[in-house]
Amino acid sequence: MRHQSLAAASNLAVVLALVLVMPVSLVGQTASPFRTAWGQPDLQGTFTNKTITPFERPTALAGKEFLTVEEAAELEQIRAAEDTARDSEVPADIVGNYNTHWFDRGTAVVGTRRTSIIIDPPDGRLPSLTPEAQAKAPSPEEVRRLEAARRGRGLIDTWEDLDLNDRCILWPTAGPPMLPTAYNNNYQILQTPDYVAIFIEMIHDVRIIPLDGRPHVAHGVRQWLGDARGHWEGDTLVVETTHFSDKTVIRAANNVKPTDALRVVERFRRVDADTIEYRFTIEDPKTWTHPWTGEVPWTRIADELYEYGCHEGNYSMATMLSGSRTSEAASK
Amino acid sequence: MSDRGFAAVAVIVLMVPMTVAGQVGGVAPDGWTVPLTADGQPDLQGVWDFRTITPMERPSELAEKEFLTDEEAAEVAQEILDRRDHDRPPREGSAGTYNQFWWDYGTRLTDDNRTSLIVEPRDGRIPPLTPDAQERAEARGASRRDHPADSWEDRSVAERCILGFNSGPPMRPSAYNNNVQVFQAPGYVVILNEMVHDARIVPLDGRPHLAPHVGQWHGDSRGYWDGDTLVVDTMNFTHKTSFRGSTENLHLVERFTRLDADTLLYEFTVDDPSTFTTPWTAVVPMAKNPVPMYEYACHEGNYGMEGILAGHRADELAAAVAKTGMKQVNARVYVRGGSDASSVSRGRE
Repeated sequence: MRHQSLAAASNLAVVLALVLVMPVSLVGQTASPFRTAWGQPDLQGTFTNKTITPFERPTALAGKEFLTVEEAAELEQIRAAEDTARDSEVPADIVGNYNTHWFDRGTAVVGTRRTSIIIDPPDGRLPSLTPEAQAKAPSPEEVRRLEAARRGRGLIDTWEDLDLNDRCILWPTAGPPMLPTAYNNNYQILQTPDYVAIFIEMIHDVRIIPLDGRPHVAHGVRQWLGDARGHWEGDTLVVETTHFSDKTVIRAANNVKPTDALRVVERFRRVDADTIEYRFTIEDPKTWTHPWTGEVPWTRIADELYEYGCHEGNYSMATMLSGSRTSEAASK
Repeated sequence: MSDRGFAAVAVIVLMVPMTVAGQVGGVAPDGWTVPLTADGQPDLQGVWDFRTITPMERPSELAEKEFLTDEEAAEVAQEILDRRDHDRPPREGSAGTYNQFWWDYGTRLTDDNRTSLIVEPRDGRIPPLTPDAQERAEARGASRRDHPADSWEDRSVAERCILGFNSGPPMRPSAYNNNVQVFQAPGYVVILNEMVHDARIVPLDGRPHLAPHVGQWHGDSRGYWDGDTLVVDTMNFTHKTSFRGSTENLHLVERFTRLDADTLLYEFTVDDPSTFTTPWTAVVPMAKNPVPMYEYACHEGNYGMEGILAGHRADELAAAVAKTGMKQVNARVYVRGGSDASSVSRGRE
């Protein structure tokens, strides 16, 4: 009898030991290189999404979804040659721009060898604008004026004519969608059980994405980066962002400002130690006739990110504006 | 025997993690225990509100008095709030600024009734400046007097939307948006200030500071745990970052300690031998804020900068007209050409 109760006690001990061991073994089971200590998929680290793959498929490649290995190598050589040429042109083009040293667009196409970042529509190009968006879009003259101003070929009336990135407000790398640009295509992802933070090198922006299922902010609240909410679907982090400011611009949809119906859904999935698959879908039925989807991989980098400064060195803004005023005075 | 041995092992296994957690978490006198994150660190996460009307420096009339009684505190708080009534009409000749609606510096002194946020030196005041720092301060004063707005660069980095006026580092209570959110990821702490949506990513892995020549607006922060206290050590400030006259030699140490469910104690020590004759320390209790932070925007709405610069150009023009008796159009040539954004945007003069 005594022995039995002792045995019962030891059974209890076994149960306790199991209870104790269980969380440990759960961690043990999931402690692959891609799991956090608390069992979520681990996306953390520093990454880049630089690539020479264009956002939209060039018209010359219409109908061609993928490059062959040889074609990809050829394109990479062409881009490298262009970079070299840019440097050799600098003395002749004294009002030219940064030389190659300043650019960091990458040297390779995406691993899939797709011909564009946009993968849907299948033609790799942005869908048509709705009649409503067409009516709202700036006139062709205004688009030409803005494009000329932004490319240094025309006069700038005010800083508000210039792109948000020239004004140090928002870069395409912050998005969302988070798209590669001319340089500093670098990110750091940090996770807690309830949040994912994505630190963006360009203008040291950070996206804080709650995972706790809270609802979106009130309808009237509009933000440059929108209002992001995340959740896990298996190993994929799904981030849904709405509530964008009506001044937000999506790269390559240049002079079209999305509406309050804009909804961006991003999917982040760790596919190996060095790669996150990043896919996004844009919906704004008031602007585009169809949703559109893009894909660009994030590749691990060894470096840490340093503080990016923008506005404080922005003498170009005054120079661009005073250059325009000088040109006006000269033409009178 | 073997049965008992098994039971004993189970008990020990059970106890060990709890004891470790107890040590790391610490037990407050009232029995409240610091919560821990999934990876066992004291949990400082959440949105924290650092509003208070307690002044940074002790007012001279309270020279020897470190703490107020409750009655004195109520009186002092009321005086401060009366003095800050922003709904009064602006003074003659001024267009006025924000009214009371825009201000949010809180309504209360800190709960301990301290007469200043500075606790060291014991007089509650910023220590005397070094002779070199005095010269710099005088030069800054002269520059502000003689060239208040020749260019946007004559304005403060806060007005220029480069650094928040209260987000530091170090953070200090100020006019509004006194909120910070703390996140803890494995190996890092993220300190996100409402102003101007700046985030500091603080590594905890003991890596050294950046090379001395790398200067950053927010400096270079490295963190570690001292018991339950998160210590953040920051160096590598730019020569343009200045806290109360500090230089790029500023060495800042911040300490974050969870006191109870609703309080995060924030202490910072400022050490810059090029500026202050001794280091000094301030303490700011932060209160848990149940409200989420929203995106703060600054530069894109900054028509105030254009207004400030254009206003000064108009003043200069009026002075030139008065001095020369010329018509405005001719007097313009006497006025500084200027390369600021206000003077070069078309149709905005």
